[in-house]
Amino acid sequence: MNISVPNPDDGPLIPPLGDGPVMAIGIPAFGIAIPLLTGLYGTLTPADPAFWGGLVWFVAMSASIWLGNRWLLLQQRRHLDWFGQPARKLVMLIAANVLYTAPLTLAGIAAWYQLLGRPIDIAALQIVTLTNVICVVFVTHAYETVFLIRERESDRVRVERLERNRVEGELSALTAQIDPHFLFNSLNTLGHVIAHDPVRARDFCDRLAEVYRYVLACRGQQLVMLDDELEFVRNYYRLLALRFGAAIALVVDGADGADAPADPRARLPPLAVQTLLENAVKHNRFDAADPLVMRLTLLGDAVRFGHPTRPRTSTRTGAGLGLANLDERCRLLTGRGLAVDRAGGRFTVTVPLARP
Amino acid sequence: MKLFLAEDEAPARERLIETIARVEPGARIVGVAGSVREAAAWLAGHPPPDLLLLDVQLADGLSFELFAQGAVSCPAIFATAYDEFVLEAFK
Repeated sequence: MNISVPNPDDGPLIPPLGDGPVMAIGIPAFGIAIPLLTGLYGTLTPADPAFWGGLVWFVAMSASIWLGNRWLLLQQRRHLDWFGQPARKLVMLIAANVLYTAPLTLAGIAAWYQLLGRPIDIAALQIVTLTNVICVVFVTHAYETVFLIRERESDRVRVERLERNRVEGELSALTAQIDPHFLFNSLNTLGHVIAHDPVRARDFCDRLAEVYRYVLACRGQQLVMLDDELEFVRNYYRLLALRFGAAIALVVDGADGADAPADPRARLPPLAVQTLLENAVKHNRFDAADPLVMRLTLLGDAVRFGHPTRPRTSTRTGAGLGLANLDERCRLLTGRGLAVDRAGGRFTVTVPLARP
Repeated sequence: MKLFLAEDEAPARERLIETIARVEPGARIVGVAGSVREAAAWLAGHPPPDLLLLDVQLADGLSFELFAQGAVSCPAIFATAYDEFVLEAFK
């Protein structure tokens, strides 16, 4: 909890209490009810003017007790809190109540009997004093309860805002990007192809531009359309294919083996499939005599990407980070993580799709 | 000067060959490989060349493996875009 002892210079600590209506009803109610119920009026009836004088007097006492205790309560809130010093707070609340309410009541009642010209009824005096103290405890309790509920409410709002900020921060940290070496290697390839096959070089250049146009368009986007991602993956794959020739292959199909039209409303984190493709080429062995055949399958609510497991005898470190990042992004955005299957000599990752 | 090349991407390999021909017309490429396995096989079956030009990342692993296997008995130059390999290349 974040309730701290405030600096008295901090300005208004407590927002408007909004207890005006409650006081407007509570003060007269106590001022009228308590003397009636405790027999303070004795034999007086509404026919006597003194009865009405007493009524005003007791309502004024009720107001003094309520407002005085309210002021004490608010003063204590500035210096003590339930979480830091609960015992001290409780003792101080009761002490302030008793030490303020009891003398005020005693003096008020004594004055009442004095004005009335009657002897003080000790029994009535005791009962009224006790009743007042108990009523103040009751009202104080109501105030403190409201305070705690409000604090809890504002804490909850704050916790929610923090959680939202945290998730947004995590997402931006996890933002996918193409391995920067991809651009370097692509440009090297392009340098060679330009001289030998200008037509192919032009195609390569266009696809490279498309790939980076997509990457730029995805910046700041948390989910993209499956169709757009697939188009991007085809371009990305064509660039890889030009570099690695017949050593890699990508098959795209539906669940039943036939070409399945992707649900245009389905969405997934940008660069999700590209990350998997990039990993597959980075961590698996392939050559023209024994190509790495990768398969992309469009399911109803997911995209599955798989290939035979052919680990390189040694590889660059940092493996697994891209996959862990993608898993975390899927979890945050769609509520479902990746399903990774390494059984049967195949490596298969299923990426969940989000429905709008 | 006899050179051996290891590079897994065909366009990059051809580009390297062209560049060598331009800057060192006296150099002769005596062998090429795209993978660690191919490179190891070639080195085992041929007399050592004067110099190896090795891409660090090959189709089936890292060319450092050739040194671990003891297949190399001549100077070598590593070519890579991955700076994290620099220290290991000197070992």
